[in-house]
Order: sequence, then structure tokens, then C-alpha cells
Amino acid sequence: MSRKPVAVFVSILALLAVSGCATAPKKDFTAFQSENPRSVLVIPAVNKSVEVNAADYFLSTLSMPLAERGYYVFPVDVVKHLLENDGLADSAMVHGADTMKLCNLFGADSVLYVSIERWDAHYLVLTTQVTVAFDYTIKGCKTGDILWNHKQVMVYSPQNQGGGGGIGTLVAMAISAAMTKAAPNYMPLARQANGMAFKYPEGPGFPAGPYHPDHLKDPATSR
Amino acid sequence: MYAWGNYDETLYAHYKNPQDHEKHLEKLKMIVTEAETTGGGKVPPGLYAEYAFALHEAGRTDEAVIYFGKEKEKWPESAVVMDKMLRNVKRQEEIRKSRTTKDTGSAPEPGGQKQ
Repeated sequence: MSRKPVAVFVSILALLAVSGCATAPKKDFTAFQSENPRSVLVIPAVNKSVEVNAADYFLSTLSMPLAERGYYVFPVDVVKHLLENDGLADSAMVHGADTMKLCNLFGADSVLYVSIERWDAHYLVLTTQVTVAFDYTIKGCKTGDILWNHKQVMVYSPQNQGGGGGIGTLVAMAISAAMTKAAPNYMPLARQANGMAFKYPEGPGFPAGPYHPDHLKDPATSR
Repeated sequence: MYAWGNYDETLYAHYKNPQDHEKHLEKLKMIVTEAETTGGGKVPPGLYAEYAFALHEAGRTDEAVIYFGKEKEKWPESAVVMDKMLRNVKRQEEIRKSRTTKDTGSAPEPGGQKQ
């Protein structure tokens, strides 16, 4: 009986050691912490892929991981319509606009810019390889400076299965099921990419926001 | 932290079939209702506003005003956008009213009449 907790503790230590080795180099959170944003304005992504609908589809995936990390996330569809009404239907124009102007227009504390670098499927002889790649940048509304940047690539092909275990396997299974249909479903892969980017401890480190219990005493930022 | 329901799939479906306003509105209504009841009031940020916007597009002004107000009350960070939306809704309602008094008889379509 008394040996069990020790065994559990040791395996937790082992897990920590493994995940510690696997994490990306530590990010600099100084600018992020000094601005300490409460809200994130998610604007439509710039789409560099050939899939014309990728930006719209992708927009549906960002609110959840950001809000669960403790931020107020502006309603993405309302924001999209307001931008269109202001003559900013083209996302490249929105990304090119002055950050401070966007901040004032919406009363936001920070703006998330995403560029969709890849959203494609390669049909090989026996399998299909699906890739999504995103470049995420958060700019602060106090200075307009970059507070956080991260690039995330996710590749799915049936051979990848079983390697990661846990959530990775589950997602792989979901995608595998989606793959049996004619067109590949990118959504589980896109959601997984966001999860990798914004979640803790899986991700590269993204500070917790004001609605999260870890706000300002965050292991993600002091690792 | 929040009762999301199938919020992301609902938005995805909306972008896939943008013309299907009715179904989108119904789905959002269900997510809001579930978050308020079985979800223990853990309504996620933005949800009230998205629902309010769908109501507004369907011409259901009074309800839209209520839900934009709920977003503003629950999330003070949203105040600038919600005030803007409330102004938009009221302005469109005034335009609609002035049209109804001019063209006596039939009520205008939710999207507004074109001349």
C-alpha cells in the first residue's frame, strides 16, 4: 500500500523529465507580462494556402483555446462582419492596417494575427498526407509591439499513428475516420495545432489570462 | 472553464453554408440555453454576442438588444464593440420603422427592402 504513492510520484517525475526535454526553447514573456492583456481580438487569417475557404474555416477554431487560457475573446463572426462593414473584407488589408487603429476600433487589449502557411493534402500511392502550418503573432494594444509569436506545423499521414500516444492518437483516429471520405477534413488537425500553440503544458508557453486561476503566477511563463 | 457545446462546429458549418441562417440561429440558441442551464452559467466569451448578431440578422431586434446587453454585462472587455452593435441595431430599426410608415401595408423583410 505504502509503495504505490511513491511509484506514482516517481512516474510523475519521469514524465516531467521527458516533457521537459521535449519542450521548445523558452520564450521571452517580458513584453507580454508588462502589457498584461485581458482581451484578444481575433481577426481573419491571411491565407497563403490554395484552399480558398481555409481562412473562414480556421476562424472557427481559435476562440476556444484562447478563452480556455483565460482571455476574453471577441466574437469572431461579429468582428468579421464589423471589419467588412468598415471596408476591410480582405484579410491582407486588416493585417496591413495600423494595430492601434484596430485596437481602438474594438476596445481590445491585444490582436492575434495568424497566417495560414499551409493547408493542403498530398495524395501519395497508398496514403494521403495532410499538412497545416500556422504562424501566430499577438500584438499588444499599449505599444503595438509583438508580445508573442509561434509557428506550428502539423502533419498527418496514417504512418504517423501510434507514435505520440494520448491526445495525439485520439486526434489521429478522428482524422483517420475523416480521411475515409473523399475530401480530407482539416479541422481536427487545425484544432490540434492551436492546442499545441496555446495550451499548457503541451505548448511552447502561453501566459494565462485574467480569467484563468494561473494568471500572473503562471508556470508556463516562469519555466 | 466554459460550456462550449458544439460552438466551433456550429461556426464551421456556418462558414460552409453561410446562407443557412435559420439553422445557425437555432444551433446558437441551443448552445446558449445549454450553457445557461446544464452548463451552470459558464457561458463562454463571445457566445451571447454571436447569438445576438444572428438574431439581429433575422430581424429579431428586441432579442438582439437583450443578448448584446448580456455580453456587455458579463464581459466588460466587450463594451466598445457591444455599444457599437447596439447603436447599429437601433439605427437599422429606425430605418425599418420609417419605411413601414411610408409603405403602408406590408411589413418589410428582415434584410431591409431594396428600391
